[in-house]
This record gives sequence, C-alpha cells and structure tokens, in this order.
Amino acid sequence: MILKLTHPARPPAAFTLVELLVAMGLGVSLLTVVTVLGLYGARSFEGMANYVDLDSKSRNALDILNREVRNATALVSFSTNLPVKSLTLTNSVSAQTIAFTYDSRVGTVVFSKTGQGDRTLLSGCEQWDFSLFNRAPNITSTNISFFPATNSAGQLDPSVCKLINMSWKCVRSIQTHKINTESVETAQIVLRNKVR
Amino acid sequence: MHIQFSKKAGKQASVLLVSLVVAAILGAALASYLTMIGTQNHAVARSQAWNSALNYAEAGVEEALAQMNAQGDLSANSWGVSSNGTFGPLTRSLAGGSYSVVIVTNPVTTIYSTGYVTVPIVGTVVSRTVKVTANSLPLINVAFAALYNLDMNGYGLASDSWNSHDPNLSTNGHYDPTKTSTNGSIASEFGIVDIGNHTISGNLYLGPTASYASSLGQILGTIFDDYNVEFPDVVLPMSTPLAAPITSLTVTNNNGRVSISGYAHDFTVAGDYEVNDSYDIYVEPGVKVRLKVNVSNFSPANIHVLGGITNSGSLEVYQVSGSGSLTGNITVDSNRPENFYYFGLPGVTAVTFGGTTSFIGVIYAPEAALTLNGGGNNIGVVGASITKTIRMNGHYNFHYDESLGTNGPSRGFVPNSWAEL
Repeated sequence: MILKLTHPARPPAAFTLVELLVAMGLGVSLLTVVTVLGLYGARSFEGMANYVDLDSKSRNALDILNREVRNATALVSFSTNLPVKSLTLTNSVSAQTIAFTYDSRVGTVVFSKTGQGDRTLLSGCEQWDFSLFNRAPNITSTNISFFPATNSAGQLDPSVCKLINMSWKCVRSIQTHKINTESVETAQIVLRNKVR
Repeated sequence: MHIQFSKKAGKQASVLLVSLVVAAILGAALASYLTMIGTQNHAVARSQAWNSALNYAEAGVEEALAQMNAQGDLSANSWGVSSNGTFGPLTRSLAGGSYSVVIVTNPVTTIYSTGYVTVPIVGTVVSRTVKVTANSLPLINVAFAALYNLDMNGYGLASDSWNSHDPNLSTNGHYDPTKTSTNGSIASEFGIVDIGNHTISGNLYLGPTASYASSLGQILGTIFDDYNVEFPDVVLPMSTPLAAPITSLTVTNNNGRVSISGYAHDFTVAGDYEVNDSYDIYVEPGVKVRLKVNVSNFSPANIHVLGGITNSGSLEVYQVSGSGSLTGNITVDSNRPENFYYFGLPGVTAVTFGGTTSFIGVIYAPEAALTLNGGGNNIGVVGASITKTIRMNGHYNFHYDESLGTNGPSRGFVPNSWAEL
C-alpha cells in the first residue's frame, strides 16, 4: 500500500490589489532610502576626498611658501592687479629668484624658482591675497601687529617688507556644485634672512 | 508501506549571497573611507609636528643668542667647555619636543639648532635644522638719536661723520672738517623730528609712529620709517666701587692741574670709583676709570681726560639719578670720543650741555632729556648721543665718530643670516 501525503491542493494564489499596492509601496520606499543613502554616502565620500585633497595641497603650499619666504633676503617686487597677482623674492645667498604667481583666470598659484621648473601649488583657487608689513611691531596691551611696508611717501615699498601676510581660498566641486572650500587666513611669514 | 513526500522547489541561499555581497561592498567602502580619514589624520599630525620642529629649532637659536648676549662665560649654563671655538651641543627638552644647539665662534659666529618633535599617532620623530649667523651690533651707530622728540633750532650742517681710527677720515686721530663722510645719521623712535634749517649728512631713521618736518634736500641720505631699535637702560657695571681720591688744589697740583673749586678727583690708578660731589675730575694718561656718580645734580666745572692717542686715559661716568650738567670745561686730550662716556642710569632724567667748547665724548642716557644750550658754528658734539629727547637751543654740529661702531659698546649679537638646512 502506498500512502501519498500531499499538501492539499490550492488554487494558484495571487496578490490582491491591496497586497500588491502595499508591497510596491514598501519596495519603492526601501529602494528610495537605499538610493538616497547611497548617493549621500557617495557625495560624502567625494566631499571628504575633496577636503583631503584641498587640505594636503594647502599644507604643502604653506610649507613651501614658509620655507622660501623665510629664506628669502628681500622682496623684490609685487603685483596686486588682477587677473594676475604675484610676489617676487630673492635669495642672495643662493642667488635665486623666487616667484609666486596667482592667475585668477585659471585659478592657480604657481611657484617658480631659478633653476627649477614651475610648480602649481594650488588649483581651484578663487582668491589669493597678501599684505606687506615692515619690521617694526605695533605693540599694545592686548595685541601685537605690524605696520604696513610703506616708505616715507606712504607708498607700499618692497624694499622695507619684512613680513608677508597671505590668505587664499580654494574650492572643489561635486557635480558642478562648489561644495568644499579651504581657506588659509593667517599665514604671516617673516623674511628671516632679510637683515635690513 | 512507503510514504512518499511530494517534491517541492528546493530552497536556495540567494539571500545569504546577496547579504554577503552587500556587506562586502559596504565593508570595502567603509574600509577605504576609514583609510582615507586615517591617512588624512596622519598627514595633519605630521604637518603639525613638521611645523613645530622649526619652532623648537628657533627656540634653540634664542637660547644660543641669550647665552652669547649674557656677556659672560660661554661655557656656563651647561654649555660645556669649548672645543676649537665650538660650544655645545646643548640639548633641552620641552613639552612636546626638544632641541639641540651648537654655537660656533670661529671664524664666523654661527648657531646650528635642530628641533625634534615626535609625530603623534605614528610615533616617528621629525627634525628640522636652521643655521643662523650672528654679529655684534654697535650700541652707538648714529650721530644722535632720541626715543621721542628731536627738536633742532638753528641752521647749517648738523651732522656728518668721521673716523678717529682712519687716517682718511681724520688727521692724527682728530676730527678734520676736510675729511668727513656721510654717516652722520639721526634717529627717533616715536617722536617728532623738527630739523629746522639744518642739513643732515646721513640717513634719517624714524619709527613707524615718528614724524618729521624738513624741506627738500635737508636729509642728504635716505629717510627710513621702520626704525625698530631698543635703547636698553644702563646697568651699573660695578659692585663695590672705591671712594674716589680727593685732592686739594688751591692753585695747581703736582701735575699742573688747576681746580676752580679747590678740590678735585685726580685719578692716577685705574679702577672703579664713586663720588658724592661735583668736584673737578682728572684722569691721568693711560688710566682707565669707571666712576659711579651718586650726587643728584652732577655738574663738575672741569672734566679732563689726559693723554694722547697712544696713551690716553679713559673715563666712563655712570650717574645714578637726578640730572647731569656737562656745561663745564670738558677736555679729552686725545680728541677721541671713545675716551669719555657719560652713562645716565634710568634715574637720570635730564642732561644739559652748554659749554663754550665742543663736547668730545658719548652721552648715553635713554631716560633723560638732553638740552643743548648755546652753540655756534664751531661748537658741537664730537662723538654721539642717545637720549630720551633732544632739544638744541642753537646751532650744533654733531660729528659722529664711526669708530664707535667698531670700538664702542655693543648692544649684543643679532642674527644677520638665517637658513634652513
């Protein structure tokens, strides 16, 4: 004798309309959440990568600026007229001329030095400014600042410049939106090697 | 009896697989994200250590300069005995880092300092080294300087320079108006400089807040407005001075000196002395005297430093407080300003000169107002002066002796070059 155990036969099942709608709603919601989280995560990831890139470039630029300006013996010339701003220094010990040039049209700061090729320190640069100060400090009870590097005629004079204050702002975009910015606001660098 | 189960569709591990794949993707994303953050963190930490290392290196330079400017034994303060003119290395540990510094005195005074900082997280040590050369800066490097106002009445040439040790700029060590140079510079740190109708054969050094009034061509050199020099207060360089000898001079003494007051201090032996009066002062040839003046209204009728160029006496007056009057007859036989210094300690608030002959010497009293009365075409100051203010009530010629810059007192070592190695 053979005993067959079978499930009771059922008619082919189907979602009811309500079930289908609920299932679709839940599915779409779930997919939406996953998609949004994915996109947000990707943007965050890209934003962080941008920030890392900006930060490393700025630090590298600051290190090079710091080293070159500290070792320079004099500021030779400067230009504050856009679209190109520049600082030109000299190191009489090594007989080298050092220049930092900002081109607002392409948003770059380029470092050049006698005997070396040009090197782009910053890109995506929206702003690069500098101020020149002489060697005399202005000391008050609450602050120490410096006087502008002006001559007796009140004109900015590179020959009396002892301290350079620089600031810049660089940006990076995510999907054409400028999301990340990096600002260096108080880089005051003394021309250590400038005696007079 | 056989029991048969009807076959149903087999279960598959697709959910587990999908879960593993998703987890792997998320894990990889998270790992790369954390790696990037970690790298950034390390980079920032190293950058901070890198920048700090330079600060520590410069702290070493500061200590070396302080050691050199203490004007004592360079081997003191744990610097150790010199090895062929090299002192150190001296290592100091500070919170967060350390530095090691060496002073090399020969042939050029040079400081080598290395700063060390341990990079947080990573634990490696970064170092930066700087090389600084230094030279001794003269205290007296202008014809006359004032911390504040500099008020000049009169007209004509007010300052030029010469060199008592250079035959091209002097005659037999004396000022010669036909052998002058253009280093008769003047300076004011904070005040108003009224040059009147004088001509300055030198530069005009002004602090950023100082101002001046002159016509075109009165300053023959360059006008600077970033003067930043400290005039340190005078510190008494002696501890137990001897009482100055007093000689009764009714008419003349044995050396032919004449005393108006009847008494005089006639120094025949070198040393540190002190006086409580304003009797005449004579310093015999070859005798070097440092004299502490305790009287508050110092006004000797005669100061005479005897001896020629080769055997001149030398007098350094240190007045403690009050006012000093140099209106008497001040004679320096060698005609070299380096043989007579008047130093006013912080308690000295006024110095007056109004003699009928030129003053040969150096006045250094940074807390005192200097007043020059009288004057005339042939009256002047041969040497230099540095005071709080200067007022000339008449025409004076200042002839700055450039040798004071090399043979005179120093304000200490200052860096004159800086390089990162």
